[in-house]
Amino acid sequence: MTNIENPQALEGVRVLDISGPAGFYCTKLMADMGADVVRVDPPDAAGDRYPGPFYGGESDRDHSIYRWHYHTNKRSVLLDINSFSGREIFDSLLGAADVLVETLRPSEAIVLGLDGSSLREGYPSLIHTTITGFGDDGPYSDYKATDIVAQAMGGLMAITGFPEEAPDQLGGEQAYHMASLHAAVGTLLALLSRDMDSMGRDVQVSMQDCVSMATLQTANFNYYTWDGIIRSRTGLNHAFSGQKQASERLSYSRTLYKCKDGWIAYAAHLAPPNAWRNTVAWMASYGAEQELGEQRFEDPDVRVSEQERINQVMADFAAQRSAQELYHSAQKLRLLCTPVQSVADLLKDEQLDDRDWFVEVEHPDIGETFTYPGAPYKLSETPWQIRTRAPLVGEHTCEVLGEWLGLSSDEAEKLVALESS
Amino acid sequence: MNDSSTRLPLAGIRVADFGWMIAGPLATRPLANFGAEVIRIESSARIDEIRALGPRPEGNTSPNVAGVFNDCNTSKLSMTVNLGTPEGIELAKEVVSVSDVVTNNFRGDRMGRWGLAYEDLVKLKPDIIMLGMAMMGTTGVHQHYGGNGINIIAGAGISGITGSPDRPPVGTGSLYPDFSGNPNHATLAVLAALRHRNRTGKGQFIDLAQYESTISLLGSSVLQYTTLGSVPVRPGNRSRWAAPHGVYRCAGDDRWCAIAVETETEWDGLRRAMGDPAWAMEDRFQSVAGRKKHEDDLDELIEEWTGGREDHEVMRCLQNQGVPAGMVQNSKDLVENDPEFRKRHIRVLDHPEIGEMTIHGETISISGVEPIVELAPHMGEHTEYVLKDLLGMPETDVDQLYVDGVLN
Repeated sequence: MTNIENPQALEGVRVLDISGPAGFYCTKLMADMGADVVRVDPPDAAGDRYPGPFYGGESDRDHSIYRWHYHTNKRSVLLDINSFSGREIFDSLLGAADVLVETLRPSEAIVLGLDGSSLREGYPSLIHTTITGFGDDGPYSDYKATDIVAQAMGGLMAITGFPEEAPDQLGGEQAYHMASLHAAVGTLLALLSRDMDSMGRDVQVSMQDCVSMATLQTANFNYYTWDGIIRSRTGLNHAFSGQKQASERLSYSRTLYKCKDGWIAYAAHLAPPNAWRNTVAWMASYGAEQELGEQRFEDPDVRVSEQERINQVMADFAAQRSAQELYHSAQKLRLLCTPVQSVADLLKDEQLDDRDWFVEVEHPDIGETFTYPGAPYKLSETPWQIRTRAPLVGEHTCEVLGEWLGLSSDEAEKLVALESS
Repeated sequence: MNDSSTRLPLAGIRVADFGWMIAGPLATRPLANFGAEVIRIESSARIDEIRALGPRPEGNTSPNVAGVFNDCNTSKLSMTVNLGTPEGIELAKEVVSVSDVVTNNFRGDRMGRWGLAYEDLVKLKPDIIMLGMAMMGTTGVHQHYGGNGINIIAGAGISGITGSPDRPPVGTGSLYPDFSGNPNHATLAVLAALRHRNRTGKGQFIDLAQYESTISLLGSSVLQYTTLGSVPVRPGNRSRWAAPHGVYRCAGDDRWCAIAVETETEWDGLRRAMGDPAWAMEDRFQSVAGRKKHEDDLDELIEEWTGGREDHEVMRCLQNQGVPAGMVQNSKDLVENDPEFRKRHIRVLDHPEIGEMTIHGETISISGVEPIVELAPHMGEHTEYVLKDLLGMPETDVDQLYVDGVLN
């Protein structure tokens, strides 16, 4: 599969993927950088469901848009690893794999013989990557963790939302994304080590730990250990606005302002020393600088003591204008201002268009081409790319048994027939 | 400890790190923790602002004691040089010429104005790997636009799918993209580029636009729009395909427990945990479709049960019945009430200026590998090491650089 003209960074790495949703992005990251990722998809009867929405009025796995998104570039082997023959094939695949990615709870892994020590014994050069909810030890280690549960336990929900109301989850399953990202980094570190000493390793991340990293500023541990401050939710204004030191309160004044047609996120005070002057210049470009242009506001202490008034003037200013207009006029003055955008806005975004960010992916089975989100990073020599859409369930069973295990297509088909009987 | 622990994965790799604030430094944090020599090149002409911010002990203005700075820069070295002088730029170039990787998270044009763009550096070190993390990338009509986490989370669409549909799009209480998506994508790209260099001898430029890297975290939202034309709405704490799903008020002040019932087996578990109340037997709650349809009622009835109980009791009771559930923990809970998390993830380091510094440990665990999690460098702590030991500069030349204001 080597592509001489367009080499990819993870070419030649074979990944066996039995992960659940917490690991889907981990193996997507590897697949989109060129690894040969094989999903082991269980038979339909095993209750393997994918969330909707679904394409074309169907509700099976092959039409799940969620599956389409996360399984780009992967191949699929249909296999019941709980059956005797299925497990035999799976074990052979493990012998041919460089990496296994799973999201089993520690006790489930032991039952399946897929825990670190069993795998080390059977497959000494295999890299075994696992994403747990709460580590592999202690009273919570066998607790079930979904995205919202990990967001809650990791400290992120406590600081997200409005005071006095229920904490908010971050949309888009961010605990799964964070854990997947850390797991992919760990897997690459283990691959680099293996290149030196040929030894496999167990890579483990816990969703709770990964989530907690995202609280590192707002709810930095030292706020509590030094001063007993427990960060909570602050609504429109960023949490740092409650800072006790005047200098910090000023530089962290950042908020959302409602516009005629949406919202802008504004953090201009973060760029001293010209941010305030530019803010006034920005308003002046609309002839609206009268109040904030007063000389007394050039004194930072006055801006701190009059913060509420300033906020009100800014809010009134924003309310009369469109979010996109304010975005571009503020950025021209190097002010940190961005509109709150929806996916529909992103599809119209000039910058993304200019960078050819979105990519077209063919779905030959239904004769359609769809627009997919593009690369999280542009690597000049080894570009990220989507070569193929997500596999249909079992689409590559014979192909993978042939390539990975050296079976002829006859042999592979016999094995598959045995497995499905 | 077995013998594979003798060598960290990135031993022998040197990184010239121009990163500042949060996203850049967090990208190189795991590189340092896993053995790379990461040298922060700090301009004395413009101090990394995160050194000046909090948390910090009351009244302490040292650039070395800020909690967030320390959390982002474990195990690194620091050299201070005045990048406002031509000699300072030359020194930075000399460090690059003995490095494997160069990183920065300035706006698209900053490194170029210093003469430190990829095109300049590749002449000094042909196989250099360079990571740029400008918000909008280094090309395109808006390449000079700037912002931090709160801007990126709004622009990239996370705010638009976070919170309740009837409330303003608050986004998150943390500057989320700065901590995970952007630095983690960056670390991954650097490691991938190192693998490629090890195999082919070729370096490369990594253009990571933080805007784009954060859009990559929207899950299937983009595809949902491009295939079906539907724009996802803010779901609050609900799930599109499961119910009940949310956080429920428990006994005490601002105490909550998250509950996520994704299967019928878990629904049975929830009923058992609540003691099989009559309402939970009603027909309308016996399927996902029914529970979604009557979700307001369902949430209210569940909250009647959780409301009289402590959060940890709700969690334990549900988990014992196989139902995913977890307390909404705050920073005090993480530091004091979750001993396993504390043992696994929190590190308390000795800080010579202030005593104790409490930080996050290394998140990634690799068997047989003991990551280093050492105190972040004091400003300029390693300037002389870099000049004399790495670059072989004689003492008198170093002294002259101080006199000339290139070092201070």
